[in-house]
Amino acid sequence: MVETSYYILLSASLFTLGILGVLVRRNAIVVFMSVELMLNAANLAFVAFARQQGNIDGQVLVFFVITVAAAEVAVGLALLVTIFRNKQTADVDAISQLHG
Amino acid sequence: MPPEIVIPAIDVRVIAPMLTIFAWATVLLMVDLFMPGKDRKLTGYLALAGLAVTALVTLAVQPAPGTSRTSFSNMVVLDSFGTTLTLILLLIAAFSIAISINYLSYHNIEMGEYYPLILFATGGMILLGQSTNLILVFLGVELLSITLYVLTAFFYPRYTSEEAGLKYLLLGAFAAGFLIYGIALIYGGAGTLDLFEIGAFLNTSLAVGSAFPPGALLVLIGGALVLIGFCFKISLVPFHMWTPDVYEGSPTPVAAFMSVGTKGAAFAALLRILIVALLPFKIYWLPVLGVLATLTMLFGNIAALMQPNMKRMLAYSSVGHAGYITIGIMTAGTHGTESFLFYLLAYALANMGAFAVLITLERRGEMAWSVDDFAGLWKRYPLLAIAMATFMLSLAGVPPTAGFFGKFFVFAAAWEDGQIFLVFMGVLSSAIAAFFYLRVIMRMFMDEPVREVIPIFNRGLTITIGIAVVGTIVFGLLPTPLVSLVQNSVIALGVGG
Repeated sequence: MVETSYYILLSASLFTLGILGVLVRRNAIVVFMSVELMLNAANLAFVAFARQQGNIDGQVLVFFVITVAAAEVAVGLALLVTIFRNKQTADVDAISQLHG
Repeated sequence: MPPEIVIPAIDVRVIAPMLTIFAWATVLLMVDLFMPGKDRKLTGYLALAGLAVTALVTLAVQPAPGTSRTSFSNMVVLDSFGTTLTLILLLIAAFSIAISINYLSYHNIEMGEYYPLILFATGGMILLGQSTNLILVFLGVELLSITLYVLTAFFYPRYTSEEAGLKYLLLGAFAAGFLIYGIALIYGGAGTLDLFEIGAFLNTSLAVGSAFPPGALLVLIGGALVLIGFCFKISLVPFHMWTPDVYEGSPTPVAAFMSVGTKGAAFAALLRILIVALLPFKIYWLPVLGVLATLTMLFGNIAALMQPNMKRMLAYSSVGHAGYITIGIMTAGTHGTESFLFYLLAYALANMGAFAVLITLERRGEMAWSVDDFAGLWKRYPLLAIAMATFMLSLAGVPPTAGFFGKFFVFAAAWEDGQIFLVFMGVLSSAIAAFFYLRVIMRMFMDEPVREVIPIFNRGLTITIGIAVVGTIVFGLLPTPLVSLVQNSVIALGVGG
């Protein structure tokens, strides 16, 4: 059996990659994907911990996270479509009329 | 043989307020679908009725003072703190809907979904105030966030509104990532998602030896990530950068709703996490929150000084107020809980009122909200000017308004707790804040009008402004009934009892 710590290391690296993606990438769709990576890193951690702890709370929470992530992406993509109709771009730097 | 599934005893009274508001919102969504014509005012009135029914249900199921009820395997709790918070949130939602009803048709964005979305968001906020399990905390945060992303972008096809929605969503989802990863680490360390059990786990594992057990270390790191996630939601400096943009771009009633509702609910959940689950770590989170509160109060108020745009000024002022509320959270052990609730109500009245005045001056197809529009208001619309002056004085914390007592109770609680430095910084930043609030009053009463502005009045706006003015002054002159209400709002620290 693979030890839990390896799973947590993997999930921590995925989480860090997700953060870097959000901070570095400029395409809003890639930013979304990076956020998904962060959420799925958490899911991996939940499942690994649930096995280690011997209860299913963590596995239950994973379902909620998946549902919430889907809802978030649905709203996000809808917003992106309307913005793309206006601006013909998905670049987060170009989407910056509000500032001051 | 399949394992026997034991269904735990369920006490529906604990979730009755949420059940009512969610059921009402769902039915309203369908009723709206079959409503003829383009006029959606009736949906708004039905939503208001739903809030009234929810308030009645909340009062009917409220626990006796000092007691609490838990149910659903201790996932939700109904204590007097939750009840008071629910009532404040329902009031905020009612104000938001009242100022929206004519706003939407005036700006040509009248769609029936608006009102059920506000109800769903309010339900999410109530859930946040009552949950004692991290699963529900996450669900509550996301429920109110996702509905607010939609509401922020509701000014379709106005581009700035879409942009505000996307910005809010990207940062909100980023924050949700931190929140959920933090919850994962807490779960890994403590082996449970129940706030009471996490607190018990920390107490036993920290008591065992002098060394830091690995489980407690995981909980500590997870707690820090959860705190970051919440800091985004309540816009503490340096996690506040989305606030002015989102408030400016979103429809004004939504900005008003967000500025008080989201903050109140997220603070309540944070309060519960900090004092129920993470109390043994107080030595760690107390200084961190102290630094964040100081930065937030100073930066929010200084940034508001430079704003010629009223809506952005109110956004920065809401950042500043988040700093004061944080002080209330930090001193939750003593009188912080009470000062938090009092401050929230005082702030809600003044801020909703200020946004309502802003709506009366807002013109179709324009996105200026310049302070210039307030110049000379006293000469043309004295009542409106007096109302705005009351709200500004309350936000600045000048007696005899509710805002003064809000600040006074927060600072008194911090003083009692020995946080002298925070009290000092709070008073200092209040002095800075008074500057820009008084500037608005000066312009209204001293200056000549810059341009012709015709305010729009309607029943919802007038009633909201009226109630807010009366509430602000009455609670400023006679705070005693409200004080006794919040003093009885005790947070449940254990299961049952």
